[in-house]
Amino acid sequence: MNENNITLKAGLTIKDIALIGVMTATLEAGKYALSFIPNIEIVSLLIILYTIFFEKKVIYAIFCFIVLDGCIYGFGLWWIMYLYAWPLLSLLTSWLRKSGSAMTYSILSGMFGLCFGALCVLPYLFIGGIKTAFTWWIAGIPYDIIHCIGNFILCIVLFNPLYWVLGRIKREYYS
Amino acid sequence: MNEETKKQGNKKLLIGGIIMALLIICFAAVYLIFAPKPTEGAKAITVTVVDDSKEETSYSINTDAEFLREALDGVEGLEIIGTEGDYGLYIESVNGLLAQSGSESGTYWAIYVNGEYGQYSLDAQPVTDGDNYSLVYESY
Repeated sequence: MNENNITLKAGLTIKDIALIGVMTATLEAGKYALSFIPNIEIVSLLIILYTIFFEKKVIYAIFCFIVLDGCIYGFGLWWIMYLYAWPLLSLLTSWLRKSGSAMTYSILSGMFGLCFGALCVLPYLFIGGIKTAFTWWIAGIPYDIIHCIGNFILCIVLFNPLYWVLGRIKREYYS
Repeated sequence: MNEETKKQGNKKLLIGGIIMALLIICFAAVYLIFAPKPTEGAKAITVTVVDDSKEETSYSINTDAEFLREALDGVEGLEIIGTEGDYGLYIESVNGLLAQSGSESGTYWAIYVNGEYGQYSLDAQPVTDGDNYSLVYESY
């Protein structure tokens, strides 16, 4: 019996665990690599691509990435926002998966960037009320617009090359 | 059929792109309307300079400064020169008019707060919203 095909209790094979580790590492490395440019990130694009290729397994990677991020940068209020913002992107990608093209995902990525501040406002809504949440969201709008444009451009430029690379990796090592 | 599906797909993409562009415009508009505007200063004060011929020049200032010296710093058309002393700046000239100090008689620049003789130097005089401060050229 091939050791790689041993299925663990959670329904994951050893290959799956290795894959989740690689996805988590690339998400974290991608975030770190672009962290010197405010609100330009490749995490959204990677989550979209990983969802397209590896479907539900990406959820494990997303939560590993979120926990790892908390360990590196501290478990602040922003960390709570990550708990639902990144899984939501994966969920929306799954929803578009059958009809998706580079442009579709670029629009999704751009919209996600634009609404990131609004999404992240929820904890402030519970802590400080509507006024605090609204003020917090308003203050971040210029950064959300940068996030939107950055996400759109990164996705439209890198989606097809990365799609090709991931397709090849999946065929050769993960099928 | 495929051509039709492709057209519908393109139409959806176009709608998606337009929605994204409109959202960016809406967000920008919301930001421009609701973002906090920079204020010139929370305290509004008036400073009046009274020279040797009793001619008055007034300055309306908005400031966040705690003390008068900081509030007067950089006010257009108001030039204060002095020397640093134990109690702060000793005013020697205002707008070029030099105080002439002598052993028995002379002139100096006095500070008035709301018409009353001030007890502090520019550095120690607190700034309160709505107050009137005067720098008056006086003799002794």
